Amino acid sequence: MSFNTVTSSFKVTRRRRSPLMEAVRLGLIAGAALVAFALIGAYSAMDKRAVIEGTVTLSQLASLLIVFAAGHVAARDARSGTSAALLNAVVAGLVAGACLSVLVWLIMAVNLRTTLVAASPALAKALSLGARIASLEALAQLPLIGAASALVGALVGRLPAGAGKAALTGLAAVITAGLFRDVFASMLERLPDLTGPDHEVFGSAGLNPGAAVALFFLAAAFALVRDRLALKRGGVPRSGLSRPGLVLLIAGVVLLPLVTNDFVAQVAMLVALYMLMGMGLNIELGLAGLVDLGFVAFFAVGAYTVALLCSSGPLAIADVSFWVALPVAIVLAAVAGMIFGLPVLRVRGDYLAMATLGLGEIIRVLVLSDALSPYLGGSQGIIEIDHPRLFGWELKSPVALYYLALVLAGVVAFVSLRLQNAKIGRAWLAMREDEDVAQALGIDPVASKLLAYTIGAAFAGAAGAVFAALIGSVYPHSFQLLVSINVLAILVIGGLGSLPGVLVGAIVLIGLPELLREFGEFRYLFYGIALVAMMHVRAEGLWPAAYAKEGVHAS
Amino acid sequence: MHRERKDAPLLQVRGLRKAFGGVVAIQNVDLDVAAGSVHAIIGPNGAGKTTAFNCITAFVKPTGGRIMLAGERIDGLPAHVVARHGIARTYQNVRLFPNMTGIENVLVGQHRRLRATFWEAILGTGRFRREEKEARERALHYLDFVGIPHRAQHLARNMPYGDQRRLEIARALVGDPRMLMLDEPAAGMNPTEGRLLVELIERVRGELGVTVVLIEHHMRVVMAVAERITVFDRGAILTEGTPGEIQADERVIAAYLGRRSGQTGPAPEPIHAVPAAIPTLEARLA
Repeated sequence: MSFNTVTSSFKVTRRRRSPLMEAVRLGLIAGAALVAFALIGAYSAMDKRAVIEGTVTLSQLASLLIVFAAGHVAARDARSGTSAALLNAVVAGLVAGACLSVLVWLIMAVNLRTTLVAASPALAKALSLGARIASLEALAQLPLIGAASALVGALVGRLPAGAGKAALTGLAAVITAGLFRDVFASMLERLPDLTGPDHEVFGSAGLNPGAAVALFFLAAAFALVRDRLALKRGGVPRSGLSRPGLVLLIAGVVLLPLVTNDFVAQVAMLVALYMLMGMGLNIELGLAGLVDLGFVAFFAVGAYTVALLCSSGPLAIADVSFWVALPVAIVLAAVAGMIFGLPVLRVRGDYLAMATLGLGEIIRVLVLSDALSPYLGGSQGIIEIDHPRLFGWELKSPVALYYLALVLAGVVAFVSLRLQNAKIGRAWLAMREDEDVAQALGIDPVASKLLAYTIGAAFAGAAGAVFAALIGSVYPHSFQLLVSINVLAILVIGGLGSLPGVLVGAIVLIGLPELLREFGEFRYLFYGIALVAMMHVRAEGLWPAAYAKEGVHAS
Repeated sequence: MHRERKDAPLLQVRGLRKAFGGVVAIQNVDLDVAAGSVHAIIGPNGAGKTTAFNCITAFVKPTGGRIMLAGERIDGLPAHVVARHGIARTYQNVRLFPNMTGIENVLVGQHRRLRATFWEAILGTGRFRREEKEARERALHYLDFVGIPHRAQHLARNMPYGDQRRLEIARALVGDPRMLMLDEPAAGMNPTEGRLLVELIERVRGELGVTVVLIEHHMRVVMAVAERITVFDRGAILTEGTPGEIQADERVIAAYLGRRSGQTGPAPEPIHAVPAAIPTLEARLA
């Protein structure tokens, strides 16, 4: 048999893979995801958090969603009729559930714990869902639940477009409310108690089952009505966030800490800080296309400047007000950006990433070095940094500092917008698109890159200054490479070059994991998964810049 | 607009040489482009036409020779400084800023005309606003000039090929260059588009007073617009003359057909009658 025959017969078998095989394949993929989810220990960790009180935990929800998605895809892929599509989904769900059953059986029959720490009897118990551990009943119910979940996923996909979207909206509302119980519950606490203690929306751990059902239908009805209205106005029902969506988001961001507790305000404060840094890096990377992995260096310069100027500790060189130290910190960070930019910016692309990576570490190592530790405190850091005062009022509550960061973020966003729509902003974009051509149009590449680097550094310096005032102390270990990576991930997830993207990215990558403390050690795993998934599904980001640009004119 | 005295050479190239490692791309290239003229550079593929362009616009650094624009030496200067001397160009494979809109592309072309500083932009001063408004109007004017006023808000990457070529010309023209260098502007164009291009080039020279240098394979376009033609072959200049002289030159035909002069064979026909020499062009324009 010639090579050609072999390859062509292979192609034929590939093309003829039956829908059933496809369903089994999907089921196996989902099953593998479930098993991995359980074996890394994420299942056990998240099982402690209830989404709907007494009914569904976070890890169960995540598992259900995985199978739900598999069923959805299995039904969509089928070229045949509805009943065949639903059958495929059921098969995929059965297979995925069976994978978990096998895992439970293996955990009890074989000792996997020597290599797989998470494969404990506790996990088997959790996966047995209340039945006797690894009993036949426990093993049989997993495939059945999987099949049911996949079937629901398939049904949602097969519904008419409007109804399907409404169902998904309802589901999303329930999940959001359940996950962020802390936020919403603390908001409801501030409201007058209309419903009486017997009808609380939130139980001690998650949503009340009754409230969950009500919320599902409310959100679904809202989605239906919204689409109807959009159709009536002659528009196309759109997904994603629109201009009114942005206004709502900003209003929410401004009002949020007022209606919730200090913990949420603290998280919001962190989000605002990362937004500040994100907008700085957005100038460098999003607009000018400069990959900067040493961004944290300028954050550190800003933080240490405020620490030295505002501390009442022994290392202070002055004891001035935060409002004097803030501009000094911004200017010093900008100067640091310029000094480091000069040698670094003559290299391009990947080499720039390497060079800046080194730079970020240099600052941290310098602070720790023997030469500078008498002045900067070495690993002991600088402590007792005074809180900012405004008209005799000390800004030390998380809410107050949140607003400080928010105002700065607003200023920075304003400056970014202005620059973006001016000569220099267009020059940055042009450099990102094609450096040679930009230069041939009279743009000085080194000067404009240096300006981008300097401004980005200044914004990071502002973030560092607020950070020092917030924490009240600075230590070198706060300025790890991971901070730079976080900021970079915010930009990639939100959409390079897009200011609303920075906001969305900071909320998704900083706010959500902080609120879902169960993620804990799995945080960076989910970062990784989210980044890879984004590159596949929506490489331009959640709120891409080009969408905003053409969207305005397309309608 | 820079209206130069007719006949004084705007661009003077003397003994230009460029070697990539051991490979000599061009040598002994002398070129005079009269101010206010349309000057074409033709020659077989690989003859060194684009390399000469790249040397003049400082895309690559010449190995030797002198380049002068209006009497000032510009060789050895960085590309953005050469651009500030008044040389604008387009590229063989269109090189726009693909993720920017039509008007934004043309606004970038005005970079060196705009005076408002960084601080003025942040504060949004009156001067900055006026200048931006003017720049936008000017950009729209040039989009209109090249015939694509409706493309202002479209992303460059979504435009049809012909419009991309026009946008590239608008971007080059909007910066008030003294000399516009077009690298194969008619490539991939159909006969109608070719005719429109000839018209456009004539308006660039006539209405804007910009000197035009173009590399082109489309002989109909070259013969229609060029006052002088320089023929490149194997990295050196083969000959130079008016369109009439070039059409009658046997060496030119031989270069295109891959034959050397002096070789025996049937007497070569005038170039516009030899479709085999430039098949795509002649077949399209016939």
